[in-house]
Amino acid sequence: MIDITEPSPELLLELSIMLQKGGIPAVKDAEQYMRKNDPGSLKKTDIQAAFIRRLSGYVTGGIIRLTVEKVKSTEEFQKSLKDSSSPYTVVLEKLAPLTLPEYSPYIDIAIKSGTAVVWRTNAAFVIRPLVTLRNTRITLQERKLKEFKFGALNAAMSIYLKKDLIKEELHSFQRDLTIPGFMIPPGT
Amino acid sequence: MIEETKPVADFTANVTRGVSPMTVRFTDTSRNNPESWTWDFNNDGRIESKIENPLHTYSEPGSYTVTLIVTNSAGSDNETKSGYITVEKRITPPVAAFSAKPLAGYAPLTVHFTDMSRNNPVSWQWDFDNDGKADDKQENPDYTYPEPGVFSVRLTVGNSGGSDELLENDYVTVLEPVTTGEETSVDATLNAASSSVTVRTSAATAITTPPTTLPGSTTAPSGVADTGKTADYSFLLIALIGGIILGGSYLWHRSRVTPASTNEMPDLHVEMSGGIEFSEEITGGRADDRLEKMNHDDGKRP
Repeated sequence: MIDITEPSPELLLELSIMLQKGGIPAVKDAEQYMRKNDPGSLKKTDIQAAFIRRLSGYVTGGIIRLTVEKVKSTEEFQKSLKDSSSPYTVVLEKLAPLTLPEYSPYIDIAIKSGTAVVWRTNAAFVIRPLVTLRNTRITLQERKLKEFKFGALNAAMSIYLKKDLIKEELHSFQRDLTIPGFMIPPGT
Repeated sequence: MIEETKPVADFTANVTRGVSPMTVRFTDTSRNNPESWTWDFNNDGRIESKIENPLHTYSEPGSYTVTLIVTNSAGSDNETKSGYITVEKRITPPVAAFSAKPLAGYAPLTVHFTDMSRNNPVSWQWDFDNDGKADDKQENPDYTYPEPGVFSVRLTVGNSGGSDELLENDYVTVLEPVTTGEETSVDATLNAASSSVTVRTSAATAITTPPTTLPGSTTAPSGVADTGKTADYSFLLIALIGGIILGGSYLWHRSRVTPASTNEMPDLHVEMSGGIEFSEEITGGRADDRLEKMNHDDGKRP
């Protein structure tokens, strides 16, 4: 079992930049509500920081999930399958850049008084990723994937805000991402 | 009959130092009325001019010795001024350029700036927040931004050929430090048994504020359905349910309940929850189908 428990720090930074560039209406509305009804008790950045941290986690989780599934569908992966009751490790060296399907993280924000919700909103995003893996190492057993690790993952990503039928582009970037739990330490 | 006196040679130049190409106006200041002039502008023994007040252009950098020979019926004289004209190489003005790393991060943020200007500047003036005040004059300085913000950076460089400046707008982004200790996490487990990856969201994140009672408040807020139930919509509400475009579902609603009378909202706090919608069937999808097919083709069972 492999768990992602922390968002990629690079995604945390990029999404923070995205928030600072234009702001997310749901976050602004929540901040405004708190300022109006409980002024001074909550720093503006508390809501922003929590929002970005959660969104970064979803974006990270989605990238990994879709990357693993896409790798499993590649010819190189398929060729590495063999009947073996013992685990064996294969390095996939010829993976082409992976165009992943879009996925849509969403966040619901509720403002509560005690246990009662007094106000809420949500925001949904569309992520369009293109991922390039280097030094991908998979461990298989009995034709099933047991472990998935890589030396480097470079993501070119565009992030859109979903508003009715419109997708508004918020931010684009391309950079190497550190994914805790999936990285092969340098030099191994 | 007036007896002529031998001339006494002398001369001046309107400029004696400059950058190439340099044109100099020489003026004869000889006494006793010379009648002819012979100029050697670079002491190579060759006559370059025979007029009284010539112009000469020096194309190459160097130090030049100038000789004038003047003659009248009484005789001749010469004046040589060693190293009289100094011509320096023309310096191309610099073209300002720079880079910096990192370009974004959390306050306080230390950024290393690297000068990449062309044509060898010899002076630098950095304005790291474009407030009109020079902050540093080193070639490759470090600067720490103490507060969050988006900052434009200006570099002015100079050499003897001139100066240039470059302004990069919104160049450095400094963010508020992430201080909340909330426990948001996303679990994505690679489940060996099912060959699928399951993404679960964590429990709702609560950002708790101290309990607050607003002045004059007497009435508790009316109950509102918790997340997951259909809420009442105000005139600001827009709901969009159903599959659109990517085959996913999208819901955006906004609900606001104003208490019947003055507000009492103790323990006002923010909770966040959410998840991910995928547009394609991911779990147990194409890869597993291929595995099954291969197993059947070769007659072997997993």
